[in-house]
Amino acid sequence: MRKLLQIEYVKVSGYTAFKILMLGYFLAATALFLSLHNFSFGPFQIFGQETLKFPYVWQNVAFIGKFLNLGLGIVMILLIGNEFSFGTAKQNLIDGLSRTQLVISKYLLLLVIAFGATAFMFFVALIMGWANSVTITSALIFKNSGFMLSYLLHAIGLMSMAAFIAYLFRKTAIATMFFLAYAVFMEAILRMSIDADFTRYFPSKTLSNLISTPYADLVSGMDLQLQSEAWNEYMLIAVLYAHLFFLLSVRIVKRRSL
Amino acid sequence: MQEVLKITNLSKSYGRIKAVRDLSLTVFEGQVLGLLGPNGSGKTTTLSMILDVVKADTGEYEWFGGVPVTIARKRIGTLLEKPNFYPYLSAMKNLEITCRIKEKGGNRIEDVLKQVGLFQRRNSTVKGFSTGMKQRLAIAASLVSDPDVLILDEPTNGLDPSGIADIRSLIHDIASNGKTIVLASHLLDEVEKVCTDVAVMKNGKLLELRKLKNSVEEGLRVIEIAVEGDTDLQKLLEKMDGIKVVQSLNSLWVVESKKSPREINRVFAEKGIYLTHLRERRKTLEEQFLELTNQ
Repeated sequence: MRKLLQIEYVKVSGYTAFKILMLGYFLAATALFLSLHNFSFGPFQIFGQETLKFPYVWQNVAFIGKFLNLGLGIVMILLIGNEFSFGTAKQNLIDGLSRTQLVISKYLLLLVIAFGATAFMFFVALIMGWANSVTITSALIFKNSGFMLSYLLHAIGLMSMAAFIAYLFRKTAIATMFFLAYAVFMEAILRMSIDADFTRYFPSKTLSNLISTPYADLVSGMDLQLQSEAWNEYMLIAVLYAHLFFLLSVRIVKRRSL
Repeated sequence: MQEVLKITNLSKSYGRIKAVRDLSLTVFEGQVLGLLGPNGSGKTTTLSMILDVVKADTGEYEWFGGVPVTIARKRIGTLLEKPNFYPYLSAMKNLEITCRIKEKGGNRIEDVLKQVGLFQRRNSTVKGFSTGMKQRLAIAASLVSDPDVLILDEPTNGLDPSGIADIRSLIHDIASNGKTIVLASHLLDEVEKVCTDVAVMKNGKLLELRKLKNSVEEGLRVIEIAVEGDTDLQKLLEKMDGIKVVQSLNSLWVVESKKSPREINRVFAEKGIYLTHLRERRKTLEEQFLELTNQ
């Protein structure tokens, strides 16, 4: 595992496009969170100071973060697509990696990125909550910080889906388009056309349900209250999906010629 | 000699096209096997299958007496088809990745870069390399782990004449150290100079597998003949017993004959024809190859 991660580190440490994309992700996230004070929707100020206090801030940050995870998915597609377009997946195999190791190395990198992004979100939420809260107690601070776990699972799940799509299509452009289309509207259309309860367990919906929309009642004109608990059934399903995407990726790479 | 690679009835089809048909051969330790064949004969597909890059339809192969292919690949240095590198990384970093995968230290990286003449450009990114430089780097990558076996698929592709000479000499040095090499090449001269054995493929089939030394010495002599004027040499040659025309180039005819040059000269002299050129030489690998593959 360590050897595979070291190899991935050598690959990405010299890759300027990767560094720019990751830096862009963190800068975009920072800029977005800094502007949350003044974000309004119609007559409602959705993210005012009130919503950036502990414990509400965890869900808000995680909710915004889940949209940014689409960017992390694209980064994964780029990294995997490159291996095929450069012919280096084949070369790595020839040099001695097994087909399973080829996939494991990318999923390990995916985990590192997901944990890194979660750590970033955690500190952003902590700083914002600290800056905006009047009453600060440890119980209040960490109440509902479980949303950070939801964020982590969302990042892992979405990047796993992206990685699977990248292994399926191999071409970065096609995989990116399919990933965005599926995550944004294809699954939604499918769910609408099926119109059954079980469709809420479809991959994109499951991942989305990990972090529910905060303050939907506030938008409806009700008082501010904590919308939902971080812990829900979708956490387990998201883990299962991430595992399934990994297994399917291994299966694809094992069955196809490189 | 120990078996390094044993291929048994290996086949691969792409749709209706049979790329490799029922191929069986064995490579022994210390052997330098030249894999010859025209474009599309199945050489690269065969090499890809024995490295598990391409999945074989049927048949099997065994490395080092049954070592799993993932472990075997770490003992094999390979240049397959074209060089594959991370273009945004330097030559050094690319070789570092190879070393890490093969679980070898990077202490040979600088040496192999010197061997292939890329030491000065070791810190340059590969995207700025010419085709020839990439090919040199690919050869460096195949050597960097000091492998037990080298598989080189057209190693001199894209190289200039001096590069070809350098790489040929490098392969020669490696071969003389007793390393096992499988060399697929179009350059028959290259194969003739380096290899101990040749395998000739066409349309995915193995046409011949033999010792190269024997193929040159096994009485396969040819005679070059030329006459002055407009004598219809072809007609005369066709009428003569024990002579087979191999090739004609302008006024020079190359024939395979059981007769000695002296006998041939006498036969022509009796007909009042005087030869301006008569030379016996060994049959080149190129002539043997063309003969086999044109059948």
